[in-house]
Amino acid sequence: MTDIATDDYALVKRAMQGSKESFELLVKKHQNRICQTAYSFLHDYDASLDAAQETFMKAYKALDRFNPEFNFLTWLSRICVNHCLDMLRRARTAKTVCTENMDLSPDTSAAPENVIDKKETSSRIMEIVQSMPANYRTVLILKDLQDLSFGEISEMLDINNSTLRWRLHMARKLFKNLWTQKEVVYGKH
Amino acid sequence: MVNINCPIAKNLMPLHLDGNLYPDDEAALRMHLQSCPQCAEEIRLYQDAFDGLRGAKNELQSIAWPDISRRVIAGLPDSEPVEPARPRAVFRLRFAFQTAACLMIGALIGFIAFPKLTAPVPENAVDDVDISNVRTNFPELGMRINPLNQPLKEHFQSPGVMVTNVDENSPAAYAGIKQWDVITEINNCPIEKPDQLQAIFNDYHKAHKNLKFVIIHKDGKKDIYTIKLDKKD
Ligand SMILES: [Zn+2]
Repeated sequence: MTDIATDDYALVKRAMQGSKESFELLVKKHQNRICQTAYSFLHDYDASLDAAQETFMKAYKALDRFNPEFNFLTWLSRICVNHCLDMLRRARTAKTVCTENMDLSPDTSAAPENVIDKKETSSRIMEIVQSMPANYRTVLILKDLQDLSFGEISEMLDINNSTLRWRLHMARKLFKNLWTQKEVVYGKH
Repeated sequence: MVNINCPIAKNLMPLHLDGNLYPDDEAALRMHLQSCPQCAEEIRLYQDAFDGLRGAKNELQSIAWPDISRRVIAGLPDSEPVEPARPRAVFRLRFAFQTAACLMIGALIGFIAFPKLTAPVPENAVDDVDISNVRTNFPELGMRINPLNQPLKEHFQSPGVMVTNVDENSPAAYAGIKQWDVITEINNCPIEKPDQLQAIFNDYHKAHKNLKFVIIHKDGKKDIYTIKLDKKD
């Protein structure tokens, strides 16, 4: 763990001295996790790739502000989370307009049942998650979709453990209520 | 073993899902579930929702991502800080001007149409909510609370809210809560700010259920007190 962290910091230092090869290594090492994080917020493949690219570019410009006491991936993830939330905030107004004209009735076209069920389930989950207030959505994504530890999330969001426990408590409660409601609406299960 | 009622059991459920409860709460919840079909159904709903999340997590992890390192490196600025290109600067200026104009018109309309509305607080993912309008007086319990400032948090080595006043002969006084006590948890929910106490209080007061407070006294000693909320009718 410490090894990887110091390794990252060595690369960061070289990148700061202008070595783009070092930064490329950092990108290669962490891109999967950053893409995943972006996708769990945006739920759109191409937008997530753009967000990941944007995250690394922002990180590059801010390398001098990276505190070596922290984990580099946690720091990157924090930039990514903020970027994604920003994008969602900006897209929200546009989205509200768009969905009004969209056909929201469930797609009943024939398909192997379990395949479509699995797909529908996870996109329904993403829909619910995205409808939640940002504070709760963020901790739910980081804890339950990204599987990060309490320690990592506290560091990433700069909140203490009891605030985090509280938010997770509320987030799961809210998610469960929305999930149950949704099932009733669509008559699932 | 403590016997808990349904609202308390329900409040324990979210963190029970992945084993993040304290052991005695976990034991109390398990015992309650054995004798309460409603809560057993409720926990099934939680479990179902949690399984859904887990499925989404696995699917998320199975998505294949391309190598974006070339894209990233190609998009990086050169070692010297780059001046923004001219057309872009013009665009930005124009954009800034348009934004300012829109804001001014918006503000004007807002001022005429909704003179009493204050500016909306921008939503921020990591900042905490504004608590300036939050209720800090709980006459139903007979106490007043205040947020804990940083030096006090450090002194008590815990977040929480401070009880700044307790009325004589009030439920709080009967329960044993004293002035300058710090409330750190209620019914297993960590309390960090007055609005959290308010949320829990509303839930439980409606249901006429008990509130279990974890308290740190001035001298640093910890205690657990219960306030019984009686039925009014
Ligand atoms: Zn029950």
